[in-house]
Amino acid sequence: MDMEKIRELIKLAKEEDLKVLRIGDMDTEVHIETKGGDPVVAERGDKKDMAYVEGGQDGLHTVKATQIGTFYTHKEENSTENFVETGDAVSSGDQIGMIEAMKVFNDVLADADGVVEEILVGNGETVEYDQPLVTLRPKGD
Amino acid sequence: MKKVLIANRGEIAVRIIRTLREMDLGSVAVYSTADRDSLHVTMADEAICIGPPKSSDSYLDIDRILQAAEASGADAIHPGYGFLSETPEFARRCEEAGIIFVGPDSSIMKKMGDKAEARQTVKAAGIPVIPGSEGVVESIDEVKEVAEDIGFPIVIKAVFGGGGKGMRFVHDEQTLEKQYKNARKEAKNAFGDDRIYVEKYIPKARHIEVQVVGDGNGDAVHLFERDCSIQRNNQKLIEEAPAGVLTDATRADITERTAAAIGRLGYAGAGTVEYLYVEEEDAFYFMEMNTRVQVEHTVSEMITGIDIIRLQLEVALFNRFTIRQEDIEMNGFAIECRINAENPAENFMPAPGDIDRLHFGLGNGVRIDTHVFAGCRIPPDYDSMIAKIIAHAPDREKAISKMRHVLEETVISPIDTTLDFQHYLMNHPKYRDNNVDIKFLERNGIIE
Repeated sequence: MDMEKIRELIKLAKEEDLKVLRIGDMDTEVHIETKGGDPVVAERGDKKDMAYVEGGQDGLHTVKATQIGTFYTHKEENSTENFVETGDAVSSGDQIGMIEAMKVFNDVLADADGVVEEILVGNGETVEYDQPLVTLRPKGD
Repeated sequence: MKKVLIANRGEIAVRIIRTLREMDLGSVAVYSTADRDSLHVTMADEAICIGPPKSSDSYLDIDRILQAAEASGADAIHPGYGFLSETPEFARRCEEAGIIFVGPDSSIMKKMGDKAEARQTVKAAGIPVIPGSEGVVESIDEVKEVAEDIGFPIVIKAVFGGGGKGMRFVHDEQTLEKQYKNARKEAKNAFGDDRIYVEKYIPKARHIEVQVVGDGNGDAVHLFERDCSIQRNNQKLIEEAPAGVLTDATRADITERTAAAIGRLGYAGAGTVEYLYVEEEDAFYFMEMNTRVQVEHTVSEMITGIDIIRLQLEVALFNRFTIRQEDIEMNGFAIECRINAENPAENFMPAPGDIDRLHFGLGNGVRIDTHVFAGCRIPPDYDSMIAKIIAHAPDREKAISKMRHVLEETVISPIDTTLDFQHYLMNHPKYRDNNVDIKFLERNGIIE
């Protein structure tokens, strides 16, 4: 991860008041969303090796997609209310999102107890198998 | 611009992507987590991870493949070979989803997948079949009748058999009842279907197959034939085009008859009709039809200069079939050696691992179809073929000689491969004399 480049892109997003900035070259894609305050950055590395944080780094647990499809953070189609927000406490089994594929909706459940650290994918974005969706800071940290 | 998803992996996915690029079509790769670093993933315009290493949860999972197609907006799916390429259910689901399946429609795929029905279908279309029962046999008495008609020895075969499974050889009437019962039982256990049919036992034959391409509207051409007699456990090791043993007259007859029959069936796309060829009788006997592109399509491409994958895409995506039989010419001789990550010394046990050093012999008339590169990992989850080495020369002798040199120059280390084994076969006097049949390895004491 080129931190210098990321910092510059965040600066650019803020300065230009962009809601979403997505920029890529041949082997890297950076996706930045500004949510009234702090930008949320997701960097997609080479298709072959994502900057996917494995559970363990920073002590965070990552909930990954178990199927491909469209990921929804919103509870319902016409509302902007999310299943979970950063800072929410969740228990294993709590619904934190939804993935839709071919008109079939599947609940995404937390597979650990913890506090939502970061929601890595925006509402309505396509996700693939094993893609990190949400990071949790395990309870007791 | 149209986008094609490749529902496959390895060398054939790379092969398909290359032709897609040439045709200015977009490519979408799907991959399991085991193939994250794979060449086809890197080469495709888009790549979507669809599941864990296990094939049934990734490359064989119809839902996941279709989800990836939907997510990527792919217009068509090329199934390659193996995996879902001959699964009628998959072709049907694509049709339902409004996605073009690069291959024939599901109904003809189903017909050819049921071996007894395939036999009847091609027989009616004018293709010579092995003498045997008219379809499925229901009772031991029926088997006895057929045996009397065609003579012992016979083979009792499972309708859904394949790869050497679900076959029982019966040499005389005494053992018939026992073998009949066993055949039914084995078929039921292995395939969930105990239906069987009967064929005459052909003791010695070559495997000769004809490459065809149909337009789906009654027209079909052939791209000549291939001799794939050198096999181990019904897996081909070496393939040649054309079949050197045939006279021009015999070649013309079987290729034309096959193309005409396939046309009559309204077949669309590429396919291969496989025969047993008995030299002493100069006779062909239908074995099965593969309704997909084959591993060894390469040697036919080398002698005709035609891109078979391209033909498949033209027919399926654009309903274009501009090729004419009179324009297809045979030029020289091509041999393919499959290189597998296997240890011949340990009964060809698969030998996955990392490839540190890789160098292929190249040069005039040499073609390498592979997905491996220096530093890559061969995962243990899939079949062991890692490369196809093809040599093209003016005649068979020169092609064998060229292949020998290419194999000698090639380095794949440190994993075990069949590279040296292939070199040994290229030097075998009987192979060089073209004195072969499908039991070549056993007959010459090369394997048990």
